[in-house]
Amino acid sequence: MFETISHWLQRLPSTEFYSGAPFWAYFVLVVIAVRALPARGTVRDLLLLVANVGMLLALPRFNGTALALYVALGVFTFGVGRVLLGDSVKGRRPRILIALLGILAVLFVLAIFKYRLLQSLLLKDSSLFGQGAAHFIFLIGISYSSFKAIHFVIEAYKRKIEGLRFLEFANYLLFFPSFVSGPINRYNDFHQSSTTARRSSLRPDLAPGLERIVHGLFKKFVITVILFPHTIVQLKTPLAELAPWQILLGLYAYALYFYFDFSGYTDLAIGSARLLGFHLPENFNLPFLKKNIQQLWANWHMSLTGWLTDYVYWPLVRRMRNMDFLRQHPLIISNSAIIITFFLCGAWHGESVNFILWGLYHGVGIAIVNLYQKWKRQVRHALALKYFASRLSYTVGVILTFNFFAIGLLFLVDSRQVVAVVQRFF
Amino acid sequence: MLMQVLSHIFRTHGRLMLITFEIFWIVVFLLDRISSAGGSGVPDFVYVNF
Repeated sequence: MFETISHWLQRLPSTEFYSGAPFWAYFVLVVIAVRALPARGTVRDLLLLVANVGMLLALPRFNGTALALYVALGVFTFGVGRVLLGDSVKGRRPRILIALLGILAVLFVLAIFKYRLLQSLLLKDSSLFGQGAAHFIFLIGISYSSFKAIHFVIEAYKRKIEGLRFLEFANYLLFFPSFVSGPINRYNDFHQSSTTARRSSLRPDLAPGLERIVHGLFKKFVITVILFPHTIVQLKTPLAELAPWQILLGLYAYALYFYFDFSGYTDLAIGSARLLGFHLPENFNLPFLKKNIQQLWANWHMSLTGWLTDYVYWPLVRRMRNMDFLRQHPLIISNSAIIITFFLCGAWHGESVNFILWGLYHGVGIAIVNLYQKWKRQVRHALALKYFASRLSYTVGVILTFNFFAIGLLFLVDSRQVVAVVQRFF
Repeated sequence: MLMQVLSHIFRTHGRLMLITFEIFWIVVFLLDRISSAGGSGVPDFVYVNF
């Protein structure tokens, strides 16, 4: 059935989300359809699901097989959640085992579609996904769907999921405005949004939704277009032949490009969701105006850092606190947990070593900030205290933090070129 | 005096001015993209491939 629908939909122009004209044409139709329906729960949920599936199938690299895989992932995760929320399984150990099984299964799917080596070992026929045989299968949206699925299983284990219904869960997992690149919303927030969406009219959401979309379009179609040719990856001259200030300017442009591109995408996702009556979480809060790298990360891709904090960092801290030899050293616990968290964050961004090094670079950066903060708390000198509270301290912090972030982007540039630069200058 | 007037205008109509400014440049860039073959290309979203 999915293949038939997919085939039918593929006759229509396919479109990347938010950047193609067909996307906006489909989107207007979806908003009208979803908003025009009477406020009856199941019918509305069903229509939203049809709209979500239709929009995903309109993506150029998404076909019936990919959808079937998402359906399987959704049914499996929903099943695990239902079992964990119900009373059929009693006792802590079996519940932990079921939750672990659910998380590991989702991670396994994520790993297959994220890492070439694993995929080449396990998936022989990539033509199933319509991307040609002997080709790396990129399953669009798998990262963000996996994050949502893992969050759902953990919260179901804690019995914190509210008002679980399959249609709503399916819409949560396949919600097209945030499907490709987030923000990673939480199930209970989606449930609340969904309940509100059933009652409200388009009028209160129209102006804020459109305003957000305009901000996103401006960032994407104007600012990134201006910045992109100046980014370090677009410079025509090999890096080793450039002066240090030219490399630095290329990195600054790259950092700003990353910010405007991704925050533009987030604006478009939040604005589009708002027009459908849903509230998505914020992802950016002026990260380049923060005075240290810890604060920058707390305000950059916030839905991912929030997810990593809740499901990686804190569990690690709690586990380490149970170890006798670590209990007396909270700073070691916090710094080890942050470095491990950023190591995993780097590994999620890509399979090559440079992504892992990039993650470690930021983890170690935050650990150094933690040490500095501890030292700062012990300082009693009046002049130093005056400096810490001054605007100058803030400005110096912002400049250093932005430079630290921008220089870190060298890890994401062609590693041979970076080696050549290092050899030249050191 | 002039600064006070400008500041008042911006406080009252800042959002509208910002949106108008953004829409103006979006239209300019889109028209540039449509009208010339060598017009400014829009790079893909960075995070789509994650």
